[in-house]
Amino acid sequence: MTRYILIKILRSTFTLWIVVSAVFLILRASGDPLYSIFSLGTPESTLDVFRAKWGIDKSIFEQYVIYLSDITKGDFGTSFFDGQPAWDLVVERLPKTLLLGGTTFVISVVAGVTLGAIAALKRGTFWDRGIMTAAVASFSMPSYFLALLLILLFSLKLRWLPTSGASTWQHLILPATTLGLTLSGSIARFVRSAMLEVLRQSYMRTARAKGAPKWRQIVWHALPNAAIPTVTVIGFQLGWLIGGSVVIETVFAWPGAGRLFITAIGLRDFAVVQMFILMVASTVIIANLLVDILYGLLDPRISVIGVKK
Amino acid sequence: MSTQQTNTAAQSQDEPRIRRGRTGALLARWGLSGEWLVTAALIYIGFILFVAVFGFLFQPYPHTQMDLFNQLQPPVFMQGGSWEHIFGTDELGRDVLSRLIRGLRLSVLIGVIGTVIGAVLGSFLGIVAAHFRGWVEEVLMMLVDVQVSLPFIIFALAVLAFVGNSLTILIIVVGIDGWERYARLARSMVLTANQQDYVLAVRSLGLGNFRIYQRHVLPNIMGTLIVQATINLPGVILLESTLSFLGLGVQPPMTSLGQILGVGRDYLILAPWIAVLPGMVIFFLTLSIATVGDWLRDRLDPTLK
Amino acid sequence: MTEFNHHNSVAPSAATEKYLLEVRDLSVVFDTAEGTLGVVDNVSLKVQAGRTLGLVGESGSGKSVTCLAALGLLPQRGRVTSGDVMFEGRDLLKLSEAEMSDLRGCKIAMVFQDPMVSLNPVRTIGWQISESLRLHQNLSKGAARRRALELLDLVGIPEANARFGEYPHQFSGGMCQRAMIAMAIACEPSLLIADEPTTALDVTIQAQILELLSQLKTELNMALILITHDLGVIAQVADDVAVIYAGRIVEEAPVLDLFDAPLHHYTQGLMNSLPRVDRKVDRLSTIGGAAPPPQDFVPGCRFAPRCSHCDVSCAGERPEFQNVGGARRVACRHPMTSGG
Repeated sequence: MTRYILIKILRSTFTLWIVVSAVFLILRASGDPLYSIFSLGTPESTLDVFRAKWGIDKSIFEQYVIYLSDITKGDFGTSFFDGQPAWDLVVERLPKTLLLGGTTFVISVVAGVTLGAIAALKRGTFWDRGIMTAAVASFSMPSYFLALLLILLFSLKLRWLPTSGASTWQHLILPATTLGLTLSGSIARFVRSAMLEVLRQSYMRTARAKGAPKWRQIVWHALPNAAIPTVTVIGFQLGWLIGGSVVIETVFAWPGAGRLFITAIGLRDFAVVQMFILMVASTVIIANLLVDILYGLLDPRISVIGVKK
Repeated sequence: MSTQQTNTAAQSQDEPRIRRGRTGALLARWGLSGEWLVTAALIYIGFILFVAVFGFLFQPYPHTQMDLFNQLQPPVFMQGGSWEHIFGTDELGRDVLSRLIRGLRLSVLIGVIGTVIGAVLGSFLGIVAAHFRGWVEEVLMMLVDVQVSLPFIIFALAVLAFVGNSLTILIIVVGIDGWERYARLARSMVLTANQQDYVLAVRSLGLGNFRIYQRHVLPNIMGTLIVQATINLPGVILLESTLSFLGLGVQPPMTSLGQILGVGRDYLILAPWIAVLPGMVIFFLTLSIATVGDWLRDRLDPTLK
Repeated sequence: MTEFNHHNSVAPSAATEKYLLEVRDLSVVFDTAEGTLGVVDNVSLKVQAGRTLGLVGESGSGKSVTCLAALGLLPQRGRVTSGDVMFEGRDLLKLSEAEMSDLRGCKIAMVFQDPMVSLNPVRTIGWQISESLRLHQNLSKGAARRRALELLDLVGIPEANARFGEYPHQFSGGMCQRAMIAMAIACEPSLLIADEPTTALDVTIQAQILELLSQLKTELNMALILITHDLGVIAQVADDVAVIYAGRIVEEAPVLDLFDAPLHHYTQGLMNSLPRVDRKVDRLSTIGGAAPPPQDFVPGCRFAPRCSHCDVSCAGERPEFQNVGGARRVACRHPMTSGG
């Protein structure tokens, strides 16, 4: 068991290394960033000073080795743009991103699981069709377009909610709703099919034959079984959520790490972009690890995590 | 027991026969009777394809033609609109309908080519992995892990911002999206197919590997891959539109639906139609494809999740 | 509670009082895409307290559906269209879902065919047995656990203490079925319905499970309905037998009478297909053809297409389920003469 987790962690670290390296190479191979930072006509001598200062006068390979060794020392590079450590820049934006992402995630899981379960229990009825149509519509909707529509309606026409910023809890409503609608739609769809699968199992009939009331059948017998496949899918959705929040933070001018990333790519700010990608990839990888462990906890048939008996 | 028997009996039979006209008969032949949503979705997709291919014939103005006297003119169905610009004009006085037609063409083109790239690339890698097994398969599965660990849109944004964004690069980047899904699917299906008796049999006849895959394996897994492609297509269209919306996709003077939306965003109060019209077109397009994709999956390949 | 009901039940004839469970003219249909299928057609069954009724028929004959309908456990598309199910003076079909929940697992319990999939895979065996007790007897967690351990002992699961916390996948098929039985008898029901309880098990285990059921029946003074396709099983444990074919009861008799002299040709056919030690058979004779699915039911006697003794009269009206002396009834126009 411990050995299995160790292997898993090693593998994850390796994956992370590949991601970081690939991104490093693609970005650094894309040309000299100084030309986009400094105006045309800046003397080469000035540029050389900066190249030497930021270490981009060396070959890509040398830069790569330096970058990796710096990372092991906890130095994630410095922003070309304002000279601050990339780590600080990203980390100071994290709380806002976590607030938006966390709120969205919790609301989506609760709404998605509830709606999916209702659709499955009311299979073939108006409720089922309604929820499923809404679910498909919710993830067919471009999230930025939904954001614009909500802004148009609730901010510009009705003037109920602010369009951008993050100073009050009202600011959270629109971005969280936008992201949450899409996420809960796909969760609801999955929960429905997982529930339908569970509901036709013989043990559900046993629960009825035992005299368990309806709510007990659902909460104690059906949901724990449906949770097993659902956890994996929800885990995978986390990556989607991070990607989506980059777009939504930009539309709502939400001062989170995603918006920082968009600004940074516009400025070709290597260190910040790389820091953000490293952060995102580690989050997703750690989340997948946790999902694996959770999976093992939820399904007693799996003795060693991830291995079916 | 009897429960299961009646169940399978019910599934094997079609809907009860009722009197239908010619349209009804046609719908029934395609398995569409009662599937009004799917029928509507198919009609919409057909319409969009028609506009994408032949729309330039009906395009009232060149999509870049500016009319600085008629900036932000509302569509004909809003107050102040005129038949000259049915869907109004944008901030430079360009005809929104003309831009929609042009944008639609590029969005559909990128979506379709991107999907094909992803499907071919992913399926090929999956088949290769299943054929060679060993370290080739290990490397592929590791690449899949890498792909999954970084939300694709973040990767795409970074690449487009740093490497530059010609149409070719955009199509390739968009095409890479989702390859890992085809790769996984193709790999597991080929592994299963290779264990099947008929493949073993033709192999023992000495048929070359290429022939075996071409003649015997591919036809068997094709259906599932095509269904997967239909399910992925809306995602690819959305990805392109998002990138263009953020200004890192299609660049002027070319235009796509997402790009029009990105411009319209700044005129949301003054001229909401610039953003809302392309948004609606995209939304109904992805919704229609998703509806058809689900329907296809249920009909052709219920095993696919 | 029982007293009260006896008092109030509508015209309880002496005959009704005699039976613990009486199913009268029960019909069940399934709504499917191709229309409504009559799966169970005017079935009547009687079970006396403390006795075992064997309900025998091929798969698809409606034997399970009859019992599921009686307990209100039909799948969603199944509907009862006529009949009533009298149990302790109450018509089960008229009870609310809540009243049925109180009854199920308490007064009437059920054991299913495939124990491995009939137990919840993510709950421990102990939890699942305790659940019945906590639902119906309001036991505390500790008390339920103690009682569950006793039950595991009673159904012959060794090392009850250790196995209490194990999951179904850690149990063998036979042990799972024992656990299912423990769960079913937890509240000492007066009626246990066992739906093909041994079909999914190894032959050696089958005998043990049947033995266990018989023994528990005596110890707890339960009535037992044993649903099976296997006359051999019937011979081992049943007191009375009802033979069901294509959704209808075709013959009803005490077990000894039935084996002595079957009256319906279908029963005879079933018997001929049994291997026997007391008679030399060259081959296992079987009935030609297969049991029809509900959409292929014919008017008149439904067995007629496979019957070697049928004539024109069999195709007309439904053969009456007639009394033929003693406790025997048969639905056939040309019943077998004794001796077969």
